[in-house]
Amino acid sequence: MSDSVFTQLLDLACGAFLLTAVVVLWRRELSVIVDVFALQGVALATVPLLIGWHEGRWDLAAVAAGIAVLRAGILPHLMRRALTATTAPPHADEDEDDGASYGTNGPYGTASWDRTDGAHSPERTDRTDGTHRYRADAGEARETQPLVNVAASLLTAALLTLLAYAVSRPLIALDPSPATRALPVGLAVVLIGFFVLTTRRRALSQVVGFLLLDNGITAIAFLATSGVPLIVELGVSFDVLLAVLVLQILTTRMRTAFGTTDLDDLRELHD
Amino acid sequence: MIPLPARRTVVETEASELPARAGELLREGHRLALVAAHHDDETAPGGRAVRVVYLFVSGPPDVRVELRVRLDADDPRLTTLAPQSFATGRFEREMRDLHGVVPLGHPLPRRLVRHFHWPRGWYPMRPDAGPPPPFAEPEGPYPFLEVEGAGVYEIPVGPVHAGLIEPGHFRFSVVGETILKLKARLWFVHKGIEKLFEGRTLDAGLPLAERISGDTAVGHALAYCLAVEEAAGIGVPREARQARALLLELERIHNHVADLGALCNDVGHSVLNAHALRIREQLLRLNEETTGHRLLRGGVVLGGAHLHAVPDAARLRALRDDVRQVADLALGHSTVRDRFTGTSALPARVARDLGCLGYVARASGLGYDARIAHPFHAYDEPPTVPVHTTGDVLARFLVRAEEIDASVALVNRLAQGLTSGPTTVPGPREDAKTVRSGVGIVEGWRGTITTRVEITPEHTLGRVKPVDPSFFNWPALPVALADTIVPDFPLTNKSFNLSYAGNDL
Amino acid sequence: MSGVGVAAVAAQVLVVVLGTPLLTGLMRQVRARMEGRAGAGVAQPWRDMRKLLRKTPVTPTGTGPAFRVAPALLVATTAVAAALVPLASTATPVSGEADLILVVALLALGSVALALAGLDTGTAFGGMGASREMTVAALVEPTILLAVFALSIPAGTTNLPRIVEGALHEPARLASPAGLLATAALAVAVLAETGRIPVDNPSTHLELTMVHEAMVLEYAGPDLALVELGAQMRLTVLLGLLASLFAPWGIATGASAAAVALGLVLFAAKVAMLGAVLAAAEVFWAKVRLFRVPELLAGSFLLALLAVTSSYFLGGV
Repeated sequence: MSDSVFTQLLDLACGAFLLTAVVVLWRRELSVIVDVFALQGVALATVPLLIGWHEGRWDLAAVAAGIAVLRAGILPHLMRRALTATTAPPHADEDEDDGASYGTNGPYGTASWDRTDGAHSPERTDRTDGTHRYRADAGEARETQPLVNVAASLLTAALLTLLAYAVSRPLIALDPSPATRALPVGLAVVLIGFFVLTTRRRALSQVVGFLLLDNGITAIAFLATSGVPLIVELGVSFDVLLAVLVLQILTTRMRTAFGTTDLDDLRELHD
Repeated sequence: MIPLPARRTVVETEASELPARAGELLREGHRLALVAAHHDDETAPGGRAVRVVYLFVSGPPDVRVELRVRLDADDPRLTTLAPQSFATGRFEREMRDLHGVVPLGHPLPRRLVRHFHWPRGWYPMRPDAGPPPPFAEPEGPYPFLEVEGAGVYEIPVGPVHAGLIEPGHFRFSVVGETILKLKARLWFVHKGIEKLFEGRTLDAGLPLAERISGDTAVGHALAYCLAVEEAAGIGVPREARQARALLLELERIHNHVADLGALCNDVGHSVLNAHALRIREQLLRLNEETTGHRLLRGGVVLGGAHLHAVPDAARLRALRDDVRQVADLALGHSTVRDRFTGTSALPARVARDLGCLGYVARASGLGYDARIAHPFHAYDEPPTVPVHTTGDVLARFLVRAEEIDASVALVNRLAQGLTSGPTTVPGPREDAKTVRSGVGIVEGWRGTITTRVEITPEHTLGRVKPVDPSFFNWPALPVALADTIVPDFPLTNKSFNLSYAGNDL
Repeated sequence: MSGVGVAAVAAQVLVVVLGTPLLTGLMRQVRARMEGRAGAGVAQPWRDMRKLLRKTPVTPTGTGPAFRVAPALLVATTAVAAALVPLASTATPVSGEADLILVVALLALGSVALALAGLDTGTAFGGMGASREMTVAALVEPTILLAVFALSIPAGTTNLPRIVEGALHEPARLASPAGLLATAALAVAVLAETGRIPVDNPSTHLELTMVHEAMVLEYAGPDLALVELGAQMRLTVLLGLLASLFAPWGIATGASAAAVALGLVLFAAKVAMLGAVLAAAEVFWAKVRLFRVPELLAGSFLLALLAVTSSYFLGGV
């Protein structure tokens, strides 16, 4: 492909890559964050694909396919499973929502006014005359109060982007080419990933931050050096996969043991 | 099986013993349902006096206790019960404005019903009140509590509103966008309904009861009928009771559907309101086929019920699925959900202290329901009562959505075995030598309605005291609005959806 | 050349002033149909305006010049902006002065005039509406300026017709990350500036939730007609600006009358389509809580900033 088309498409892919990192900071619903992360995986996979096509190296195309499968397929799938496991059935959520119990004697005792249909599964029970279970509580599925509020986070992301640009100027000067000129994007995503990791409360958001970090590093590797050797990329990806599996199991265990994965609530040691 | 009519225990009490007796009943877990003043003349058993009746109820099992106090006819005074029960304090203020009964030691002895241009010293419910004297110049402005502080300003809203809602005046004290204090001034639609009832025949009182609050025709009519039937000794056949329960649920369904749509409209998502109104129109047409009136008037009659047709189960199920879809769409929309969650939470402690009823109480964890506590019909399975604990707008939305579900299932069960046509029993109306009283307690769609009726020996209405659940719930609105921003007020007000006419009577 | 240019300017202003109620009617009709209602018809805003113009003007006691001047000022500034923005042609007598920052400033002047009028009435609603409007405006202005800056970097100037001509000659610029991010940022800014859902609900009856409508509650008769026309014109001009910047095909660059006529027709079509898409999207949105609006606007600010930075280190042009 011609140089100008290559430059354009590469810029679009890098732009989408950065934009998805920003949207992870912007949105609160965890399911949306996971979906956006999957899109970022697609954008990331496009980079080695384009570089390989431009330079005629087809091993890079294989790497691109591998990245797409891993980061746009397997990892988001694992995270979605962790998400549905942690969004407990609404029945249990209600009792957890408000700590006090109101079982009193007299006309206002709540103990006697339980539902009579008794279904407890998290899916909707659509029996013909049964009651319909509405999504009563979305507490676990949203990042309700990050350490730094959303507006400030977005402004910080702007500053981090500028920082990335300033820091990578001397790097670009070493070998100015369309790929290396897009280097600041990778660095910016690394910094944004760090930021998400440190300022979000939900375990799943922190996992996404860690993965953003790794995505950014991969992007820098491709843009700066036209790809690391395949074996290194495979090794790193395998490590990442293991890390996410462990974190998924940990999240589910935390949820069942403590009732929440809000790490700020888990300050003390429990029995 | 005909459930036995609940027995009322009547306790004649001295005015001095009243606080102790009332306190004991409240501690045992009863709630105060009603306070009514009556003016007895010389022919009454106690002689000329002002007789005040306090009705305490609890259930299940259905227990009703009345404390009756006799006060001096010309200078009626009693010790206030406000420190023990907030709701009683409000009843006492109402009694003072309408009957002239002075509550001694009341912490907030200000006008409730009388607006500032009512002439002083004229109490419309007294038998010697006569026609209203010319209304004078205002005695002074209504003393709204002023909040002092830097940047605090007042926003007055109403009584004339921009939309088609009932008149009420709200005075907000706001700093920035946060509401510091809300004062609501009601009783703009006080129509003197209690006075209008006096002297009517038993049948002529029914249309008036249906119109106490237009959207609660069945609730108030049923409470009235139950009270009159107890007082006059009229029996009601089982099939009629089943039909009455069915009409009560139909009323619950169509009102809740309108509310779900209105809540979505108030956050700017009007497409769901358009769909909710479409479903409601189907329900209103179903109502018309069932009773001949879109708002179910004429369905409940003295001694029975009158159904033109029995609602079709499949039709109701289809509408219920439609409503489920609308509610799921609203709950799945992240902005709508975010607007509802955490907005104007009413704490359970406050709801219990104020004596809140209906879905407002159920959203705050209090599951009191008169269908279970004071049943007038033996349901084969007790109705499902959904309860949530967060007390915010989302909880009130969910309670309504779940009540629609439960009501549709209940209607379909009740419809089996019903035939259309009037099912009344010509009531055996015995001759009574004395004034007889009756109480009707019904779970209307807003909450528990209590009506107390006294019938003269000539079989006319001597005194009717209806109590709409909005009377209990209105004080909860300013409390729920603490820490809320001004743009969320219409949403909160709609989530409570209290009746102005039912409150003002 | 100057004859056709003058005619182009005049035609732009005329089409905007006369055609705006039709755009509003179209948007309301699209929304009504999507909600399952019959709708009032596309010409209803025309009928409303005719009704209002026949009524007696009423001015509340205690208001001063700020209240009386605001409707006319609003319409005037928007009309001047309509003349400057190259909606149908880039070769007009005012092309040399048609600076993007000037257009933004004119629109802001209209906002400020209305806010002052709201304060002048002395009512609680007027004050509330003015304060909310100014909060939103304060957050939106940096976004608009940054997006403008992002667009001016490749063209080397903030002169609007030059920018549009540059985009016409080099369409690749629009598909670059800078172009797309600037489009997104400007789109959100337009939503906020014109008071659409999710920032404000233009068709609400709840005074306590209003942002723009609360400021104009005290206007009646011909004044109200002018205020509504001015507000609707702002939407038209901003949508036209979006269309000119990001979909400039069809705008006349020379002096031919036929090209100008074609440009007008295409302008009307583009704005109508944008309006219909906006109305359809609004059906699926809801109004965010007032204190979440800064989040939305911070996001659009970030997009604009990213547009600026990426036009420096990406794209290479």
